[in-house]
Amino acid sequence: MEEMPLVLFTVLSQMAVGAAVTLALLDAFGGKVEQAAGVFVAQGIAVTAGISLLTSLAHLGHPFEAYRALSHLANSWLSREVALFGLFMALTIVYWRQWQRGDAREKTGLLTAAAGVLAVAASGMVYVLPAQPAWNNISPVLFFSLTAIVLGPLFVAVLLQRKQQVLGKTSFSIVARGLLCGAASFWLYASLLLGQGEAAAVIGGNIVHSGAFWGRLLLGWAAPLGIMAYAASKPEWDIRSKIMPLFVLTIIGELLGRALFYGAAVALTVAGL
Amino acid sequence: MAKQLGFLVDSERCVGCHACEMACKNEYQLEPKIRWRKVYPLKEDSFGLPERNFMSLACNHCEDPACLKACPVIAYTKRDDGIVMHDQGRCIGCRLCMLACPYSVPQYSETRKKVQKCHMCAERQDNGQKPACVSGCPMEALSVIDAAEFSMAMSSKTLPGFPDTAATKPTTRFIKPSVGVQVRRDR
Repeated sequence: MEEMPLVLFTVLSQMAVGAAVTLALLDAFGGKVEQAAGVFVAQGIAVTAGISLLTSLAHLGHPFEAYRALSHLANSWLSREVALFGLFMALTIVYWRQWQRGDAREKTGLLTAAAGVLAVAASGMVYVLPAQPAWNNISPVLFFSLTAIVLGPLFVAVLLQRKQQVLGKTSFSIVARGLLCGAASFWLYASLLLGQGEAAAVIGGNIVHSGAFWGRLLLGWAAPLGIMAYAASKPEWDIRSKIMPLFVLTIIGELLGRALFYGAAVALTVAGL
Repeated sequence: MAKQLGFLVDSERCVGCHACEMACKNEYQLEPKIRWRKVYPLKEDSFGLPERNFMSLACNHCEDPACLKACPVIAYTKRDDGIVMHDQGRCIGCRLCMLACPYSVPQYSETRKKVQKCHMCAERQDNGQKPACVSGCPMEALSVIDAAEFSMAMSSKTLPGFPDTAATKPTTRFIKPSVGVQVRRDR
């Protein structure tokens, strides 16, 4: 699949941003992240950010000339995306070092999170193009942000569990709300597309007739929400045994959703051809 | 007013022979799959009565080019005469311009791993020659105009099937085909 490098880059980079925001907020306002666990999580975020940037190069015809993509910051959202993700990646390394030893950990964490949030917004803006009716609206920024909101805390939960720490119930409640918001907004988005004429209706049809859409619906939204609802229904909240399945299902759902984002889009055409 | 070169496409004269496409491919020895100029058939009922008409399109050298704004490496530039140039030396093959252009003009070369597009034969024009497609059209259906000054009663900024011009302000102008007369025997 031609768009696979972009699918991996966007989902992994947004997961890294979501995780950086989660860790920074936990450290600044939630407390109780042990240093060894914090080092491990910060390391995981930096490695994921690095892998995502490397993956993005596979999309280019000339990956070794990728540095030139910083040339057009004045007008090109792609230039801004590259600059902001480059800054975010550099800051994740500094943040990791700050967890090891350093006296500006909280400030670095919040700065890293802020750079990441801007990078995700810029990433979404790359696709807001008049030639692409399905993307020429707020949906790319919304969907990319929701990916960060649902995958970030789950990724932190997986990494913390490796260090025998468990993420609090509040974080899972944010993930559940993100999933509900994602499902509802995607449903509304597909319905709006189907209700419009020509290219938009074709895109809406492409989405709902695609196996990836139904796979995402069942694996990426229904199953994780069901698992969290089951855990919440118990007298005592205990999510430990369910963190890994939750993470795996959600990331599969997000990857399917992103493949759909790229695969279902139909550009404006000349003479209907 | 600044000069703004554009193509004038006379769809009344165009017979859909694709000679313009071939003249362009021949001039630049383009790969088989790449066509900088394309001839599109219009829907036969576009002008009321059934009739075969064509629209020959290359780059529209837009006043506000989406490709230029999207490109992260400044491979696109706009000359003083309005021609939108693409520098293959700078292109890194990210293909964002292909997504940004409403008219599907930039095309990706799988062998060069870069994008390419029509530059209105800028070098030929600098030497006083016409673009290859204009010279190659046997019906004289193509010409180069200054869209900033051009005014012609019969001309139009769009034809049926041409995407919305609001976003990028393309400079191509069209002469619509005249609507034929269908002669019927009186009952």
